[in-house]
Amino acid sequence: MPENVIKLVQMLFGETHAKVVKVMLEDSNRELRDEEIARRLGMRINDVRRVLYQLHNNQIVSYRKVMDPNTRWYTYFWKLNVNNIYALIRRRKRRVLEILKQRLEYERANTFFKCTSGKGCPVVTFDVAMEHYFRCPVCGAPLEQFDNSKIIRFLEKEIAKLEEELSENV
Amino acid sequence: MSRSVLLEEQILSLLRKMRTPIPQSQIAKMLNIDSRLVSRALARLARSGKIRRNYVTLNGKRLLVVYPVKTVEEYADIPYIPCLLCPNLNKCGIGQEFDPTKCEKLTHWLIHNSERGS
Repeated sequence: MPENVIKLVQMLFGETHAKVVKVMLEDSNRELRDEEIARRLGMRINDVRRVLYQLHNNQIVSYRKVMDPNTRWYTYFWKLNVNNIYALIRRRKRRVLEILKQRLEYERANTFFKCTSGKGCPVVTFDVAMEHYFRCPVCGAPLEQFDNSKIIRFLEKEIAKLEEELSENV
Repeated sequence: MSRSVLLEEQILSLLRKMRTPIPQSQIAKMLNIDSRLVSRALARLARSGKIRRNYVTLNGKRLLVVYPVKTVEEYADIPYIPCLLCPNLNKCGIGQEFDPTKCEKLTHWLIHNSERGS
């Protein structure tokens, strides 16, 4: 379980975030102060705080703040919420599903043209092609119609796959 | 491979195939194995974090249902769509700062994979 969590954090946020999460997992039964995490990792406290705030924005860590009655300064105690990582992935998948649906609609609604030069110029829509008199806006070579039916089929398949994954309750 | 490990594998593959939570009592019947062996194997799987067990009440009966926890290998397939790991995912949408119709990474992934898939 801890290795899974560290790997997922590394994939989603990067190496530094994974290091911070690793330290928090080692002491998962108690709250940690940002100074303590910074000391254990040999990192600057500002960097640790930046990482913690990013993780907090994604609900992976939570904090409790306590005011020192003498200095009136706040001390933050951070706690890891492991299960929220899986919820985060589900949320991101839901967002990706929306994006893929938008792209599918765009692919269905437009006719595309591609450059015949084979230099890897971007595919353009009919409106852009007409504006440039059916010449490539990048290299000037003639444009030919691009069949996007394979892309549409592929998108439909991926959307169905994601919808199925999200409908599962496990 | 010992008998207990084989049984654990068998239970895990059954749970993954079913995809929905199954009452613990059903597993022994489905595999046609002694229920005592199954409950011990399930306890080991729950301790190692491979499955989760929860009590649910169905028709007044309290049932222990079992379901598999996704492994990192199953979650590790998440980079297959570039958007999943994209830092701009929440700013992306038609007419927004990052547009899925103009995204080079998404277009490249779509063209490359649709050609390969056909």
